[in-house]
Amino acid sequence: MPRRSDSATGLVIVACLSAGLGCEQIETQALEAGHHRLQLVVPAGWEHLDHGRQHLFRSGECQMSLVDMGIATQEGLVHDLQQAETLWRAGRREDAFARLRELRGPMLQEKSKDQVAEFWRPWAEVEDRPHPADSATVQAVFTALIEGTAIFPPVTAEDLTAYVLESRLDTKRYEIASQTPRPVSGAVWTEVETWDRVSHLARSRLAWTENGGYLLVLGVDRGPAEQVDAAFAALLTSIQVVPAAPAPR
Amino acid sequence: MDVMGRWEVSVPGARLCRTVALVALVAAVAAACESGEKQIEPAETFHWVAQPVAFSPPPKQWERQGDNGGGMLGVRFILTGGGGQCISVAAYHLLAERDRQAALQRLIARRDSLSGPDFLTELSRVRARTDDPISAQEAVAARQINAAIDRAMAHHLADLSQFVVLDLEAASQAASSYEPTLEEILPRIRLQPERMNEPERWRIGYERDTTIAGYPAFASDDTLFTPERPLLYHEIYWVVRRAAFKATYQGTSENLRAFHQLVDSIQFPEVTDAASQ
Repeated sequence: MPRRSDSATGLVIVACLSAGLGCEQIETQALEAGHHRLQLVVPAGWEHLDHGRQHLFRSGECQMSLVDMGIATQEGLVHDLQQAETLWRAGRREDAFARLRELRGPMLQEKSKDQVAEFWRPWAEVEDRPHPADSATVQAVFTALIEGTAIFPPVTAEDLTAYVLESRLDTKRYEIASQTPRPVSGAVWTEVETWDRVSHLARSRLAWTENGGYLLVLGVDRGPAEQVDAAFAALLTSIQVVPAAPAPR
Repeated sequence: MDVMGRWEVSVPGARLCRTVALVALVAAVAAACESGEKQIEPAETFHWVAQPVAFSPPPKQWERQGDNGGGMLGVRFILTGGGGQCISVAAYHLLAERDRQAALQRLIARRDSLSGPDFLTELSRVRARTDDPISAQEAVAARQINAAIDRAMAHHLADLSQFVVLDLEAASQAASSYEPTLEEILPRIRLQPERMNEPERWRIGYERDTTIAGYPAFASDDTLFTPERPLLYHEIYWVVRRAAFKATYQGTSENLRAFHQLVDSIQFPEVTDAASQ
């Protein structure tokens, strides 16, 4: 089911939803979702809750969320490793190590098990020691990990799709009904419509884009498609992602 | 008189206009009714078993529900306000699970990445069912598959991995050697009133062979006696590439057309990797 990716259509929907029957002014909001700096228009009648990395949009029982899902590409992985190293240099050793343990990303998935094991080997050797490692060793581990990111092949669009769907969708119960690239204000989003595998009921929507090595995901958490679809399309087409600055080193 | 005169002149014109308008209205209503009857929804592809099936669902007044029971997986369309009239299409997923070919192929592909214990667990999962065989041919194939798996297990424990590969290939060949047919499956899936809760409600009618999208099918036009009224109870069974399906219509003759439209739209897309995922 091909879908026209026309920003103008989205803006018209935004305008209609925002204006209702009157002529209220459309208000663009600037916000940050984790690593992403954004501008968007909250659909009229929807409540906006800023949880930092996650932004919720609620209307009655319906809910959409806009989330920074973390690392998308090697660029993001390197950036996160550098941030962990910075924490360690600042004397926050446990925070830095906790960051390492929490690293997630499409390249760290089960399917590339051997590469993942090879990537983590320097860190695993330090963690397995009975005594805390000295600073020279930890520095060597960070250097090895950052250089070790080159072991992973570039993350493809298919890898990213698989990663997002695995993280956000119960793929045993739901399947993709349609998948469409959707250019919005210079960013290319991938939008999927999902439905129940058996009956093709319970339609829902999910869209994501990559920005500066990190994933930004807009999804419907709750609510029937008839009530959420228009607001989802309006919100998605209103999002302007401010391109991330190159990571400092 | 002028007024009356104008009336005398205008009346035939007004009648003509009214007649034309009436004819146009009748034609529009007839066209609308006809297009309503022919109205079909866009085709959807369902992956209930390895073989996908695609068809155009009936119009929106037939409310959709998932159908998962009795070893079948499918979808049911219930006519709103229709007093129990429904159309269903479903696949026999329990029968499909007896087919070990795909599972064996997956295991062969994953073998190198599985640890020893995981491989043994997976080996036990690809065993063929030997209880209640569909036919003597299926029983023979199941025994051959399990014998090859036994050998694979023994060779794996003896660390003879090159023989394990050969054993798995032999199991896969045994699985491929048997393909269920409609003729074999029909006796266990067709309507048999004596197996139903209230056998007296069913009357077997006209049975015939037919085709669905070019594949052989068996159709049965029976009657279901509900407390309110007798209803048509039509069933069509078919087997496509190792998967068995059934389409059922329970309703009045007035709505039978919706069932026929759905059945006429049935297609069997090729199995793709994406679909099987």
